[in-house]
Amino acid sequence: MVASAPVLFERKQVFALDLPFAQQIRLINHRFEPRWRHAEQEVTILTGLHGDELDGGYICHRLSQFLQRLPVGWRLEGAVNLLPSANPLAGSLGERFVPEAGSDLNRIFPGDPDGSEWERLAAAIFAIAGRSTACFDIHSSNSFLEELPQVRVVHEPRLIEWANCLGLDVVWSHSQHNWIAGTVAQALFERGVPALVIELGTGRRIHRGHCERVFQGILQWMLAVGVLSGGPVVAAPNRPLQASEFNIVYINAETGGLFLPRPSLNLGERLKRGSRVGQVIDPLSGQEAEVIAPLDGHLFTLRVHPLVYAGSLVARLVHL
Amino acid sequence: MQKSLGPLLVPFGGPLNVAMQEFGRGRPVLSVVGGLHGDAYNGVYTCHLLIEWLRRQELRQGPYQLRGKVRVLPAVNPPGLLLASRHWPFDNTDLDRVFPGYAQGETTQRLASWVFEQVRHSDCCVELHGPENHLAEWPRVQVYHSQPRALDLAQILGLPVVWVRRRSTAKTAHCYELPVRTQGTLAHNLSQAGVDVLVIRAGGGQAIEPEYCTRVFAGLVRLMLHMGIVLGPPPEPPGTASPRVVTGTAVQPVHCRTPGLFVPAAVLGESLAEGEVLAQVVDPLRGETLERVHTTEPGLLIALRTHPVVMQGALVACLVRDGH
Ligand SMILES: [Zn+2]
Repeated sequence: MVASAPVLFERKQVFALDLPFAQQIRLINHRFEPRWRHAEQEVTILTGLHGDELDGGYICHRLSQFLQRLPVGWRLEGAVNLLPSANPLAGSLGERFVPEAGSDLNRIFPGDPDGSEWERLAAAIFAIAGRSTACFDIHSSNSFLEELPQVRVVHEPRLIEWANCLGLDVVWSHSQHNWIAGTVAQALFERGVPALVIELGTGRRIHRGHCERVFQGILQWMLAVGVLSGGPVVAAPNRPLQASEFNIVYINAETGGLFLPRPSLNLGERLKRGSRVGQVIDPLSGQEAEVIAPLDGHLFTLRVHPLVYAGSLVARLVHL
Repeated sequence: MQKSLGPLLVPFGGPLNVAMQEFGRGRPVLSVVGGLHGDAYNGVYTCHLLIEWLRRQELRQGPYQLRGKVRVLPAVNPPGLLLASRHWPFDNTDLDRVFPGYAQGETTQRLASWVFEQVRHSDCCVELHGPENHLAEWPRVQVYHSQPRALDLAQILGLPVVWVRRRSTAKTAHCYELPVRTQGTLAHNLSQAGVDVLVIRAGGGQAIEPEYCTRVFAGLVRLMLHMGIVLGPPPEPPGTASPRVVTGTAVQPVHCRTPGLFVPAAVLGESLAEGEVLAQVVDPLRGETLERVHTTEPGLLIALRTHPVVMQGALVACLVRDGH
């Protein structure tokens, strides 16, 4: 700890697991506390539950650097935990998960401190997240899709308000029974801890523009709820598109082949019903199938992996 | 003495070291390398037996005296071994195709250069390999035709088969010696550097078969005795009195004709008569036997497929023809 700083910062190892062949998993928490007051609020920001999702690592880095060197006038009022790599073995390989390390780490929460090694890792993460007053779980998309920065929450007024505070492109609310069991977000909700799942970009890539928006969004949220003070509050932040289970338009390929988005198509674009999203071509038969928007909507998900099977998701719209 | 190569700096993980053990001093020098491929656990366990034994002798807890130097690298591909992946897991590189390596290069090239620097000044280097092409192997040692001294050492090991390979082999009918690209292998580069190379394969992958490992370990003790690295009595179990020394032309490859599930009916080391069935290929969707794979000549079964899925024409077994 740095004694003179107004912020207490500690880089803590909160869990370790010895692996064969002299390898080791270490879960690291960047822990920040205000020096001059008792923290009433505690926020945990975790990422890397899936090892191929790397944007969150960069966002945590930006946050950690910012909190370690707060600009003049800013004050830390609450405690902050940053877990930049929640699944270190998968992260070191850039794989969503490694079979030897159990299957999907984000399906075994809240974990079990007396369970298997991976249940113990989940329990160590949950021990930190579960005592927080709010938790952000940052994901990238997989290697197939690019996502505009968006936040997914349970359909509850306070959570939707907090989600809007981030000023990202989309707030996507789900009813509680539609959350996947075993995810950290679902387990936190059961525990009564508000959880916000941020999703952005593409697997195995860092999209700095999207990351910057999420970084700024989290600072705005911290100012709004009083974890930080003294910073300039954006008067009228970007009003996110409001999505629910009832106004998302899924556009799927109808045939197998290579998906080519329409040239100049951009995420965030407003598409009219009947307009072209792109085409699926089959270089062997020479067939071309048009992909058409079935309704009006804002494009917030777009396929970046060209290979599609019949039924593969190529785009998602928010229909308003 | 425990040493290590590295470290390699790994994202989200601790620094990665490759373990190395050294016993004795001076010459001659024997190097033993295991775990180049992450599925080759038999070799890693054989290294364990060797390290444990050498430590006992060094502490004078056994009847042997060390007179030279033994260097053991039991697990060259630690993340591969951790994940049971043959290749380096991050970029799927075959570590045994990047020798002699390059200290300023990619991760695997760096690792290869460190390993090569350690073992290139040996008198003899033994590589403990796992299976290739999904074939489990009756214990055998492979040497280059251009290294007559290595052929003598290979016979000392007392494993059932010594296979003499020509460096560049054209693909000929009835010859198992496939024209594989050998440029980047450790064995090729060591032989170019004048080190006698013995490549040992025994058993299958993804498992430890203690019986094979013990035989190879005893062979290594015989080798050390012969090289004058240790002094002492012959080890147990005794080796094969007269190993079969074969070249590629003595080895009969057996292919299946039909795609399906491969069900073996023979065991490694078995002497098979002409026309004997060594396996079936079945179609589990229709419940039919598609093919009975049989020998066309009498011979000793030295390799047998372990992976149950076969394509049309897959290599499923190798026999050493009788009379060779
Ligand atoms: Zn994810």
